Amino acid sequence: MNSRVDSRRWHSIQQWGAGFFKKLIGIFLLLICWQISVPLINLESYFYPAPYDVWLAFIDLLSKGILHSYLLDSTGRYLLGLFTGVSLALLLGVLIALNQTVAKAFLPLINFLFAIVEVAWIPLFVMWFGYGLTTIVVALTYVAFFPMLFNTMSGIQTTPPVYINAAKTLGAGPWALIAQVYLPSALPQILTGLRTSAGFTFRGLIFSEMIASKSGIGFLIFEGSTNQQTARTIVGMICMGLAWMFLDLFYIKPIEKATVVRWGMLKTAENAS
Amino acid sequence: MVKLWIKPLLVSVIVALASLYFYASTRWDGIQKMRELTSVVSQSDLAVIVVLNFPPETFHMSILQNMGRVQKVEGNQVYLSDVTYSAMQELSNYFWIQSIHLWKKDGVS
Repeated sequence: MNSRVDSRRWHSIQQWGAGFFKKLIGIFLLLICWQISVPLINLESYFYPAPYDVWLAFIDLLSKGILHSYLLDSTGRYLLGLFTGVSLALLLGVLIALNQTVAKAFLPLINFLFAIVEVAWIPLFVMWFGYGLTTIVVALTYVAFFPMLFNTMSGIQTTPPVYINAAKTLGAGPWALIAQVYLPSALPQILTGLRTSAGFTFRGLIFSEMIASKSGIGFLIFEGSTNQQTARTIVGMICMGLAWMFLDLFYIKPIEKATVVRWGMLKTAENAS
Repeated sequence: MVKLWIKPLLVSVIVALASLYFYASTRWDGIQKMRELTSVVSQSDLAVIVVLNFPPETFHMSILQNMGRVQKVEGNQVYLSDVTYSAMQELSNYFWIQSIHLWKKDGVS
């Protein structure tokens, strides 16, 4: 009995290991091609650094305390901007979807603002709020706001009328309708909005830090390229990619699995087959 | 149901513990660095030599400038004046600072 359990466990570990290595094949291939291309292209390392130069730059940034500090700054700004933008969008999305007067008052303005990208706003934000945290958080709030708003609105507006009527028949008031019918029904779209907002905010963070900050991963990327420390720029880019993968793998996907996928409201490639 | 939330919770706990360990170890190092400087607790305009493990970059200089007035930089050493004791304590918590010494401006440190 025990040996059967052990062999099953060993088999699942093997499967997990094989799956893990399959996921790394693309990265390994990229690294090999990159390393091979360096002597072939034969340019100065500040122009086209090898993976080894990038590794050395990574160790250098870590040992000098720069990477920790910049990552911490960027994470704080990102979370603050995302939280503010998403909260505002959720609130306004519900209001606009359920109230015609609010919709009429705000939708034209929102549509107008939607077309203006955050990069256009950042110089103005810098003028109003100065360099630093406030400007970046306002810019990130702006970026996070729109995807979440439109997804929330769409989710609430597509709530099946049969649920609404059933809840009303059972005596549900407006708050109960929102909490127990509209929001649960809109959850797949809200989570899609959250995922899109999280991704857009990540990109917005780089722009904002390049223009309006003296710290953060965006600043590292910008500073590296202006000081001809290209390897540092690439370290910054890799950190951004890894940070997003970390966020997606350990937070966004598990939250989706624990909610909408578990409730059968969203089909993933894994559970569709 | 609980199993589905384990991954994010576990990762959060690991990140929190790693941060706590990092914070505690830098605090401990900071206390060690400040050991020889306890005689100047009450002074507010200290002159110190901050020794780094490497020549300082813009990032380090901007932090040091917030702690006092940078007088000069020689290799890995940054000479600061008008430093308060609390600023010195704050400086000692940075792991990239090797040591902090009092700077006697007659040339002896």
